[in-house]
Amino acid sequence: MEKAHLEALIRRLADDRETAGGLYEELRQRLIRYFRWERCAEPEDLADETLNRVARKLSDGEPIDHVERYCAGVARLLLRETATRLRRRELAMKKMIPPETEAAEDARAMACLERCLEKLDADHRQLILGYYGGTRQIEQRKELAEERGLGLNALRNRALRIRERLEECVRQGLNRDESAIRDTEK
Amino acid sequence: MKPEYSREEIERYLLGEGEGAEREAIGEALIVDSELHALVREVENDRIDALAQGQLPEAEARAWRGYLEQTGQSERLAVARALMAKTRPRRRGLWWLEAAAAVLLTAGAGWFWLGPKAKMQPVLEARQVSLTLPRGTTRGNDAALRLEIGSDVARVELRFEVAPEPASGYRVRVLSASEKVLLVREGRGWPESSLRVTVEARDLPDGLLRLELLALDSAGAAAPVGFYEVAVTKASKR
Repeated sequence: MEKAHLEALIRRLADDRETAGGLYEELRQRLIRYFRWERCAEPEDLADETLNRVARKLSDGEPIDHVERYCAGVARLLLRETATRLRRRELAMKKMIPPETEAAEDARAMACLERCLEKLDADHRQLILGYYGGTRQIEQRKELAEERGLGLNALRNRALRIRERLEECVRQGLNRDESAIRDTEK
Repeated sequence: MKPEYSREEIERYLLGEGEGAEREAIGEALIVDSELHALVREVENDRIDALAQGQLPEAEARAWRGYLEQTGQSERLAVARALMAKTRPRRRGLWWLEAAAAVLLTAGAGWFWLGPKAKMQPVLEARQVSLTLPRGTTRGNDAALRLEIGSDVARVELRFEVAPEPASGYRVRVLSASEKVLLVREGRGWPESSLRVTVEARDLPDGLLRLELLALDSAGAAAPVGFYEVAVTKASKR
């Protein structure tokens, strides 16, 4: 994305740059997930292309009242343009990757999860295990929110952020394990 | 006014159901509305967790497996299974048993609790060695467990230390370092503190082996409980 275009978008999101940077990243993540939920193979590229197009319009002086709504419209058009072609490519690539046995994958994931939980600070670890554990989740989440003096939405957002970080950590660990296995087999 | 969507509508959207205009409306809403977006993520996580725990009916489970594949998120299932295993509730009323065991062991009275025959190191009995596999051992631990099998040993008893689980059965798998499955043992029920499985010594090759202990629920779904690496050394026969 050209610097001038990016500047135009950042300026529209918030007055101070730090807040604008945070809002930009949050919007980008929402777009990435949208394209993933719509089964696109390269959601990150499509999210960046969406933001690129919107930023270019703003930089060109196009009057845009609601940036996020405009982004959603551009994303929808982009989806129509590219989804089918990208999806096909993804399926072709999937066929080339041999699936791992479930139990072996589970055992490795469990070991990685333990390591990643250790890396979380105690408060986050307690929150994530409390939020996703147990058999009466609705009541437990209400209790957890009360204990922490948070609304349910705020608690949910916090849990989602921690879980995303945790899953990313496990995924990286699994990828490292796979590289190590490949190296030892060479 | 912001449009509101129920969990069922969100599930249908994620599973790729619904007409074009309906899908486009929810797609646009979840980009614009951060609270709806968070709710979609929560519904997605909750469904993946239910799938990981084997709680979904077959058709629904198939649909969510398909969803994970189509959205390039298949690896999330293994992570969810691990997270669910980690947060799985212990059987009610037995928490005190675990706590009592911990106190006794800390006080140095472990011999009394485990009984005089139990020892932490491999024990040579009549043509049988026994290997205790402590709880909480994973690949992440630095020291691999060691098992020496003498030339006169015919059987190996694997003694898994376990906590009570709401499981109706167990599965033990022995794999080579290259992930080849060497043997599988399954059984009914779940013990309260120690699960013993005996295997033929000739079935265990020299070298690093991986042992997996899984809890089975009544539908046969497996959840990982323990994962161990064992360095096996076999004495050659004279």
